[in-house]
Amino acid sequence: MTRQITMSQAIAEATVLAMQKDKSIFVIGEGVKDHKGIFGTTLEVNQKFPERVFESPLSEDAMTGICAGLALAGGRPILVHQRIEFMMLTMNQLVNNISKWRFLFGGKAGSLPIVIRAIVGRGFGQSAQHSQSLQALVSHIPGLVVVMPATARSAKGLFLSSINSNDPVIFIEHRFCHSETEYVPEDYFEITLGQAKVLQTGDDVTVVSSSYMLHEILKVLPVFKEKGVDVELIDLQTLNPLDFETIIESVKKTGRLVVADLSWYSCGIVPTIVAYVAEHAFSYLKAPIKTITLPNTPTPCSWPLEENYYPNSQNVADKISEVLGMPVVEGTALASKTFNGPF
Amino acid sequence: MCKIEKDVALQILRNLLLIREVEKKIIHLFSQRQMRCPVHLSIGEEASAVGICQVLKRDDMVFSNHRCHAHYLAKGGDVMRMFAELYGRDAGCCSGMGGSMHLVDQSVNMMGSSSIVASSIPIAVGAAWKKKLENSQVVTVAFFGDAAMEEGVVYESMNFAALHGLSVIFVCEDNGLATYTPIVDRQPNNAIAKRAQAFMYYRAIKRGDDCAEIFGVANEIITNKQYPAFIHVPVVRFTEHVGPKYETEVGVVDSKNIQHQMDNFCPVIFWERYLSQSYTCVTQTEIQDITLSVEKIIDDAVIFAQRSAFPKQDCLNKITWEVRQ
Repeated sequence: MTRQITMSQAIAEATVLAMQKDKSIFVIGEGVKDHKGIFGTTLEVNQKFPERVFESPLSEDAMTGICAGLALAGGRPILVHQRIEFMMLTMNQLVNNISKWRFLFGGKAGSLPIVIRAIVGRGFGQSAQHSQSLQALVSHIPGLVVVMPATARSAKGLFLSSINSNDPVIFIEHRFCHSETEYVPEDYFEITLGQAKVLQTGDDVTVVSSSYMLHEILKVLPVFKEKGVDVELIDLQTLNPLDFETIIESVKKTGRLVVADLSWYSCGIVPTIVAYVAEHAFSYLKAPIKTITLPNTPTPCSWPLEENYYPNSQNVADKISEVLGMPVVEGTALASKTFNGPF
Repeated sequence: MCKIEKDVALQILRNLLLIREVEKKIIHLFSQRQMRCPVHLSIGEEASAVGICQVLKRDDMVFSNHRCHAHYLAKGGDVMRMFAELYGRDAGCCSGMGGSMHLVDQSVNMMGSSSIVASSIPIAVGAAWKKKLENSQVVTVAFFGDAAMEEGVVYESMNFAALHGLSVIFVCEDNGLATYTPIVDRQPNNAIAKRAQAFMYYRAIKRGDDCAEIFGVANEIITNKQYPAFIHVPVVRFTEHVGPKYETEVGVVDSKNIQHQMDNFCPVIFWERYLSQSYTCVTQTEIQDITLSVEKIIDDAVIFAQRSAFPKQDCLNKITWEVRQ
């Protein structure tokens, strides 16, 4: 019962389980068969099912369409991008075809069960084109399910649901989450898409986030606990469609809200949640909502600037203190994860 | 070139007439404003769809573009559901969600069409890839226009089709126009052939109004399994890019020249002449019967469409996705 594995191991294990169960699943991507195997996540599956794991030409746009065709003809492809930026070359297929295929043909041309794994980089001077959190861009499009796991266990369950879903799913993995470790059941299990998870219940303030930012938040919660503040922490898990219901229910209870996301504010995940709460639970709010997002600039390479670019646990403590109207809890700038490169 | 059997020749006539008369019916009814979607008509370009689909089996798959009426009908797509779709009805082939540019009929493996130029080509290649992985003999055809050859995704798709040796046929219907921009303003001279030859078995059709030639080339490719293949078909667009008018009415394209082309490169006229010259056993009664049956199919389809219900207002979410909301 105490088996501890990392999120990347959990994703690797889920891929193997899914492919054992269903022969129509394929893994396709640049580097899925090389010695590194997408941060180790495709090594085992390539060993076990080499005939269903395919290297891709550097043709992201066509490969995304090709995966759509594979899915239309009965396959269930998992397309992998080592960096989410390469998914930007495929926006035509995602926005115009894949997200709309089921809709455009009135549900009569089948669904497109495609999973697209896209990895967000951070640290070691990745700079502006290898570190972007682009979840908001794809979350704008109806028909694309967007999933962003935070922990090993949730990654496994959400990934298996994504593979089993008949909707196209963009599965966004933060590089820093890959090394997060926890107990993960060995067997096949799914976690419902479109559903947020309450990680910790509390009556004083609701904190909503996802992916790696949750780990920064988790670091400061014991400090607030000591001061008698009960935080309710919600992991969104799926970013589109968003589970507004769970957020609203929590805000009605706590009356205070902090929303954090490691993407930009403008037209992002954070303002979407803020707007929804303002519209549907305004009268329950005891204080203005507080938010945490990235500065409105690309990511710098220079390491002291890069370190300051990302919100950390002290920023979280600041916002929770502010929304509660209490003196700022100092000294919670616990070190963020370090990453020694090279990629 | 193989001699086409009489019944196949009559089937070709039937399909050419069906497409032509469907399009003429749309022109006739369009002004009533009951069909409220952009129509890209196939008049003048029928031979490519008919000649190629005549070689295909039911299991073979077709993917198309915004100008998809001919491909849908030639592949055997349901006429009633097509008109119902143009009328925005629930009984339409896309339940009224797609309209003229997105015809689909999976019962005959007309797999769908995308209105974003060239973007259905990789999807066709992916479907062909799945068939190859299953060791299936199914052939997949991607229809597209000359302007698609300006999109990068075509070359990515050709590269992949060649790399994996897929049973896919790219059919480039070259009408020389991207909406109204002539090909000379868009592509270097005679480059389509050279670019296609770099990846695929290439065949150029001499007369794009000649169903016999197109049928013959497609038949050779499929019989000899010369995959992946690229068929370059010169065609003439008789109607405006989008809408119900003939180019002669629009007056943008040189109207004297277009009238000449309409008179001399019409697939229907070509085939009627070909039939009378090559098949002495084809009687006027047989042709008359085909004409009447086509008219009846279309009249019934229009009545069916007009009497069909509109989709329910609350259907959108369910059609978009399955995920928990």
